[in-house]
Amino acid sequence: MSRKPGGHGPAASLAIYAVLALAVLLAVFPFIYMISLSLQSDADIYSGVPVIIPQTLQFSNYVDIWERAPFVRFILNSFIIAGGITLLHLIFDPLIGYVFAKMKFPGKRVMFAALLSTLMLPFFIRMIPLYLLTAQMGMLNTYQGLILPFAMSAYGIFLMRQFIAPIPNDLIDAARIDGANDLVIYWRIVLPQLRPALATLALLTFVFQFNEFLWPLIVVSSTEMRPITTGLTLFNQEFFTQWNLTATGGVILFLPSFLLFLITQRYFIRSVMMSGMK
Amino acid sequence: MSVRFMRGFAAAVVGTLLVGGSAHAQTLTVYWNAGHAYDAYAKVIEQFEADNPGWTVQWERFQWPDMRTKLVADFAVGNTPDLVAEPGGWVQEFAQQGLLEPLDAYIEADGAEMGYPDDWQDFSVSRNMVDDAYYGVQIHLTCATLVYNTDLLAEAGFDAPPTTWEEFREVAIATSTNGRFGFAPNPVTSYYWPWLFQNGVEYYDPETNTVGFDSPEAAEALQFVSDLIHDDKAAPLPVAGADYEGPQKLFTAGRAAMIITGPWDVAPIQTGNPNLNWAIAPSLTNKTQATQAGGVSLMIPAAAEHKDMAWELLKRFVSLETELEASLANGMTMPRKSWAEHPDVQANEILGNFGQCLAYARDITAELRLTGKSARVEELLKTAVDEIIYNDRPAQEILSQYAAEANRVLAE
Amino acid sequence: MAYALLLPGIAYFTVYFFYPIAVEFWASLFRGQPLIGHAQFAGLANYVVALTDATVRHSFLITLVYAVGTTVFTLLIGLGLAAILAGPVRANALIRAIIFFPYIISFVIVALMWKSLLDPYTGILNSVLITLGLPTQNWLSTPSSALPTMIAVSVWKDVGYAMLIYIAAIQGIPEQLYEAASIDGAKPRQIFTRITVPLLMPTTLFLAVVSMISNLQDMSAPFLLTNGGPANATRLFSLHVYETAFVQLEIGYASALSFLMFLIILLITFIQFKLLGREVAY
Repeated sequence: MSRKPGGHGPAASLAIYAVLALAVLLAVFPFIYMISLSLQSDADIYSGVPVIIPQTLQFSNYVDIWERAPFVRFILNSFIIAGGITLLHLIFDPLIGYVFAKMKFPGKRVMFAALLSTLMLPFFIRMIPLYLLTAQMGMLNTYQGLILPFAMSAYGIFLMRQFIAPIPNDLIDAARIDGANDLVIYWRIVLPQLRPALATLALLTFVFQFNEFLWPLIVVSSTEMRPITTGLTLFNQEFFTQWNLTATGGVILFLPSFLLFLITQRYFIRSVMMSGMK
Repeated sequence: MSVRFMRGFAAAVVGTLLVGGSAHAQTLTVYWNAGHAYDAYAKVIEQFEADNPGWTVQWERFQWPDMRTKLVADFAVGNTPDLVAEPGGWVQEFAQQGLLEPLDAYIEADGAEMGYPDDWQDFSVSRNMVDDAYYGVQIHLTCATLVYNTDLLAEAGFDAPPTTWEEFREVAIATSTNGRFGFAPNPVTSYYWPWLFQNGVEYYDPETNTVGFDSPEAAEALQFVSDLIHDDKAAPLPVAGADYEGPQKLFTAGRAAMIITGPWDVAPIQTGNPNLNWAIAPSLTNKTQATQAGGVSLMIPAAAEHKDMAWELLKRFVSLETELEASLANGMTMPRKSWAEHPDVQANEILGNFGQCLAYARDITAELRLTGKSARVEELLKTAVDEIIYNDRPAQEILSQYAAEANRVLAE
Repeated sequence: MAYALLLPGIAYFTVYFFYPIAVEFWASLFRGQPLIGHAQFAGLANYVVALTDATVRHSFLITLVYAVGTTVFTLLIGLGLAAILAGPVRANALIRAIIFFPYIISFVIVALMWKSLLDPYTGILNSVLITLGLPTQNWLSTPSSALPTMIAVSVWKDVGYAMLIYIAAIQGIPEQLYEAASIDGAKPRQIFTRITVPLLMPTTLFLAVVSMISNLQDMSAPFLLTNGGPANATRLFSLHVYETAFVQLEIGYASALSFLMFLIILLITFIQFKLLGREVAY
């Protein structure tokens, strides 16, 4: 691992650690508050008095939440949906990224611009026509209906393209001279070098989709098909938020993403080092 | 083959077809608010399913903004639920777009038996009608009134709640000590309507097709609240956002002496601070005694698959027994006149007290909604109120400015 | 051959993006409630009205401020943290992980946490300030402080992501460059500004483009934190369009507004490529 050049004097070190401490505190405090809320009782959350450490830790919230709603099913749904989408992304995004990074063809710039432009419209604008489409395809309230509209994304393709571009062209040209077609080149040469990049893509896609709210709201019409995000809204009253149970759900929602992050961390940090975002 | 066998065979086939037909499972989709998933309603659904074998009720629950998004998308695609609960105002809005099923035929057939419209408070009927046709049935009817902390008032020397604006201001200032506030206003615009109504302000005049919130009375009302915040320092700036909890939290923590709210806050206050001594008072009177009304209504989309069954379920949700059961258990006030007169309700302190304001509660946007432009006018009023309250701008100036814009929109 | 490989992609984007976009464009040519109710054909009238609509102008301006503010601070702070954490610091990996947390928690949940923390009367932040003897702030509840506070929350959420991308990029810079510079007597700060930063241009371009596109369209932050208030101080463009469509049912007008925003984002992205697209090589 390369190092930042030069040493630091003791004063600089102190300053650096102070900055880091502040950054860590700021990053983690709302999360600690969320854990605190998840252990508070109704009395605590309605009292109007801000509480960080509740007098009694109501661990039963974590038990209650399973009973109040089909929470196991919600979690399963979230995994199936986010997992399915991530899988499709891993299949298509790098391939298309490769085409844009390493192949020459007429209209390439125009197509890439058109691709990027798909990022520039907020989702809820496409939502109603998408809903209509899904209804016509008979996929309402199904996993397919939740997964297919997110099978690929310009963001993922753009990211992959940036990772693939720095791969030396000599390798690819040599393979072409040997008669390999692009699909083979992609499969045999490019893909093996992309492991860290794929890990990055998988993490970002999974996290994003795991937290997706709007599309499941629209397309799901039965409680059992809800993912955690829309499932959690069942816990709120008309005029006030059931903070503690929502926070409990939030903590549970956080765990899978966190686990995936830990697993992919080693790839994620080293990932760009190999192909270099330079 | 004997004839008898043939006949027997035919009978068996026909019998299977009939039985097969009725064993076909049907689903009735209902959209509800997550906060109203009362046991009483769960029982209604169970009973409905028991009485109608082969039918399942898909009881989908949402927060209002989410339901709005989903419902609008459903209307666009024609994939609507069968029965929908709405927070107020949607019935007329959607009916005007032709998206709801008119209920006249159903009411003609069943109205007498269920007591509709005679047993419902009058304005709860008219707020669900467009062009003299029925499009919705009120299931909850609420009004917001004064709730006060008896200890804080007593400390400041008041043994009775205020009844007029001057008294209110006196109490608010006197109880604003030690970092406490006399009154905690709610950020949601509808909560300013008690003040406006109490000063005789009319939202909309259908004859002239203009709004009435630029009148001197309206300015006086909003300036009154704004002054409480900025000049008297007796009220805090409301926390921005679409939620209603702020005042209740301050009240429960003993940091606000008075709030204006409805029966929904009873449970949080009691749970949050069981030792709090508080009481409910009638709304204030300035030129008149008034407050805003609210509450959920039920409607059936025109594109619904099972309208008849939706109506059957609707009737059960709004029956007197259901109203009584739901209200006594959950502290929600109801639209039936017979409910309000029922001895159990009158004996119940919370329902009795929160129910008394139903007599002088008013629907805010009733006539305005019929113009089809109420959403845009509401947005203008909201911005005007925010300008006055948050930026401490003079009420008359701002109101006149925004009313002019609203009138322009109405004239389009 | 390229087209053959692109076929699934072309199919997907046409069906799931370009078709809906075309439908929405068609809807933008109508006044009223196209798609769900009564509507009148109006040609480009919606676009003309939008250009003179004061609310739209205000909304666009504060969205620009929000997007630029969030992007600039996210990148600056992200780069700063990356510069520190790319090097030999104790508990390196753990600190990076913690700073990355906010990015992976669902914003729906975390916005609720922030809202609760920032409540001027019942929130923890102000009670901590009171204990420390500092003046309390109104955070999200005053028009003047609401937008900066929202920017701060968004930066808080995104900074870990920018940091990680920058760290990866920094670690990709060949050591020889740094060694050569040290030998020549360059000081750490000079090395950073003259070598590291320019070499990170492609990364900066990527992050800036992606951040701006995302922040210009942000609806969750204003919706969850302030619902556009107070007094429309945080009524960002996407929220305005959403309310125009779903609350006011002005679906035609809302569609036109989103297309206008689309064009503006296109323009801003183009400008960014021009400004930041220079690649440096040594």
